[in-house]
Parts: sequence; C-alpha cells; structure tokens
Amino acid sequence: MTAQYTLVVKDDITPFFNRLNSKLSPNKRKDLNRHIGARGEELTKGYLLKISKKRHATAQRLGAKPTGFLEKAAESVESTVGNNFASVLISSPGIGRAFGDITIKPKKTYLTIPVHKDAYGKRAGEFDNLVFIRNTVKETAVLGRKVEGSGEMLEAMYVLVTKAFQKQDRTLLPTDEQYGHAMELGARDYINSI
Amino acid sequence: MPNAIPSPVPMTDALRIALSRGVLPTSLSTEELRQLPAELRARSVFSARTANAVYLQELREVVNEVVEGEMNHATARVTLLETLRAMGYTPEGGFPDSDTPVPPAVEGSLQDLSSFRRLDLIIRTQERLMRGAGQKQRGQDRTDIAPAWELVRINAREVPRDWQTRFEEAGGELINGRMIAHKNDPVWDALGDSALFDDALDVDHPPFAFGSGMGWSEVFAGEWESLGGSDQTAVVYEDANQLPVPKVSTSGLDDDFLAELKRDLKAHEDENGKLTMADILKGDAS
Repeated sequence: MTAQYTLVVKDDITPFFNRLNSKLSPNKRKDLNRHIGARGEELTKGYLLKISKKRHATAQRLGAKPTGFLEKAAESVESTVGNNFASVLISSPGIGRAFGDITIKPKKTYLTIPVHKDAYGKRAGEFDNLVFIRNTVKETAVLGRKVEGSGEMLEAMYVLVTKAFQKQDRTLLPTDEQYGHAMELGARDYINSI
Repeated sequence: MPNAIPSPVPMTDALRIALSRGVLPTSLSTEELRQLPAELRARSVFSARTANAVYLQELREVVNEVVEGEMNHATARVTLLETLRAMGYTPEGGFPDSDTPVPPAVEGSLQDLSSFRRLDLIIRTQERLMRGAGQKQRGQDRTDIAPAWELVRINAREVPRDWQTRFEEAGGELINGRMIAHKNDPVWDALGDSALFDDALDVDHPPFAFGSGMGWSEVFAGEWESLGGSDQTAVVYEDANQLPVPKVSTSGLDDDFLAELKRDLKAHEDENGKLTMADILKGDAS
C-alpha cells in the first residue's frame, strides 16, 4: 500500500512556522510547504534507515538473512505538497501497521508463517519439495520438507494459519514530535531562502 | 496518532514513471542491449534474452504492484514463476513455439528466467530503477531547496564495491570525504555509464549499477553553501544588458515582517544553535 502521512502543526515546537503561517495568505503557502515536504521526506527516509540497522528480530531468531523491508520502505518515501498541506508518502507492504492494528487474511486458505531460516523472505510457491502435514489432535498444519540424508525425517518450513493479527507499531515511523521539528526546520529553510 | 489517509492517496512519482513504460521483447543479451539508445531503454520494460511479450507484460504489471507497495518481492517472484510455468517455459527450451529462439540456459543460473537469482535480480533492479527515476525527477523540481545529492549506502553488502574510487573515476570530487555533487553535475551520468563501469545500468540516478545498494540523500541549501558548493546554473554575462530582471519575492510577506523574522531566527540560532536533521533523528531537537 501507499500510505500518506500529513504533517501537522505542533504549536509548542514550531515557533517560526507559526509566525510564518499567521502571515502567509492561503495561496502563498505552497512554497513554504515545498520546504516542509522536503524535510518531512528526509526525516522519514533517515528514520527508516536508522531503525533498519537494529530491527531484524525475526531474521535473527531464525538465523536467516534479513529481507531489507525497512530499507525498501525508506527508498519508497516521497513527498507531496499543496497550498494547505505537506505530506509524506510511503509505498511499502506492511507500513500500514504504523497507522493501526492489522488483521491479515489469506487470499486462499492459509497464511504461511516461516519457521525455518531457508523459508524466511520466501513464499512457499518458490519451493518444489514441500509437503502438507496436518496435526489433527492439535488442529495445526505445517508445510515441511525432507531433511537431507535423514531418510523420512521432515523439518517444518512454514506454520499455516487462517489469519494473523499484528498490533499497531507506531515506532515504524518518526514520532509526531519529530515531524513537528521537521516542519519547523522546513519553515526556517524557507525563511533563509527568501 | 499519525494522520493516515489511505485513500485517495496521490500517485507516487515512481509509480507514474513505471506506468508510462511499454514492453520491449528482445532476444538480445545484456551487452547487446546496451547498444540501444538509453531513452528507448528508459521507456521500456525489457529483460535480456526475453522475447515473449506476454511474459514481459506480466513482469511490467508485477513491477508496478511492487512499486505501488501492493506486493512484496517474494510474492512478485512467485507470481512470475507461476506465469513462466503456465507458459511452459523451461531453461533448456525457453518458451514453446517461440519465433525468437534464445540460447538454452543452465537451470538455476542467471540466464534461467525461472531461477531465484534471475527473478530476484530483475524485481529488485526494476523497483530500484523506478524509485531512483522518481527521486531524480522530484529532486530536479527542488534544486532551490536542496541543490545537491550525496551518494550513500542504503543496503549493506558482504563485499561492497569501492564507491569512493568510482565516484572519483566518474569525475567527482569528494567533499570532506563525502560523495557530494550538485544535482546537475555530470558525475551522476558518468557513475551509471556502462562504458566506464561494466556493471552500470546506463542511468544517471540510483541504483547506478546492478545490486549496488547505493542511493541518494539530498543536501539542503544551507549545508551545500557551508560546504562551499556553487550554483551550477549560474551564467556569466558579458554584457550588462543581458542581466536578467531581478526576481521579486512572491511570498507576499511584508518586508518589515520578513526582516524581523530573519533577525529573530538568527538571534535564536546564535543562542541555541541551528536546528539540524541529525538532532531531530537523534531525538535531541528542542
């Protein structure tokens, strides 16, 4: 999805923006917003790259190579401005979680949750040797594959679920206060430019 | 709580550029494709030794969904793999009933259109090319705000290429050890030139080369000036009559108000230091 975050005023941390905003007529604000949008874009990219260096919990737990999800999100960041707004756009699957809780449902029957390092960052369809295993007692299901050299032993690659709930993770984006400071920085850039 | 407005969301620059492209079926190799005009390659979705227009159209649509943030790379790979299987593609035989034969490929190699390596490289490269083109376009629209680019590492690499040496070989000059140049500097064109670097993509924007992991960060006007940067759009006039009419501020702000604002800002910065993005990112801004 492409998510849009519109920068809003935080009166206590945007003194120069407040003074400008009170004097600029509505049809003269686009240039100010260009500066603010550019700084909002810079903040969002920089923040996503900063947290990408630290957030690999699932990959580390599985001993897998990170997928680079946050770096890709950083590269997708753009800004858009108008007379009355400056917004940041982020086009990345999963970024919606920053804005609220997410319930993921499968397009077919199951969602596949990787539980093996070789499965992390890959879809089940990229393997041609997976077998479906159901545990009717525990009512669980997995996709597994034969362990090489073990005869008939199987190892689980994916756990299959019918839905997945992800709580909102607001830390995927800068705080509202950080965006307020970026807005103020844009306003100061604008003052210095005219 | 962030102000999330999921729809209608404006179309991103990267998606707009991706949607504008057509497909270019071709049996040419990567080296042969480089002989085609750069403009043609920029306007087309193509892949070395991929002459099947139907598959290329699917590739184009999958890349567009990735750029739009609607599809992750794993799903993109599986979608293309399923298309290849449905079309009867094999590495040895290519596409059945194809009028344009291509040499057989070793299964699992980069030449095998269905291999993980090939699919992953194509999708990553195509996405990064669209994002880079969008960033360049957006950057050109605001050279007054941020006149320069800095080449920075976005993705870690086990064996990174020496980009500082490349930057200098492309005609760039390091500024305080940083790879910074004006947005209109020819170094950006040279950095992506396959005549200079074998792995270059013949573009003047990130990623510049296959699997580079490199990107741009904007250098804003204040920092560019403090680094001694010049306005590369400056023109030398030999005749005073050629001088352009002075630009009048269109901000609509009263001169006295503006002067007071600038004075107050300078006084504030003299007392508190300048507000910087580094401080904001660290959480040290006040």
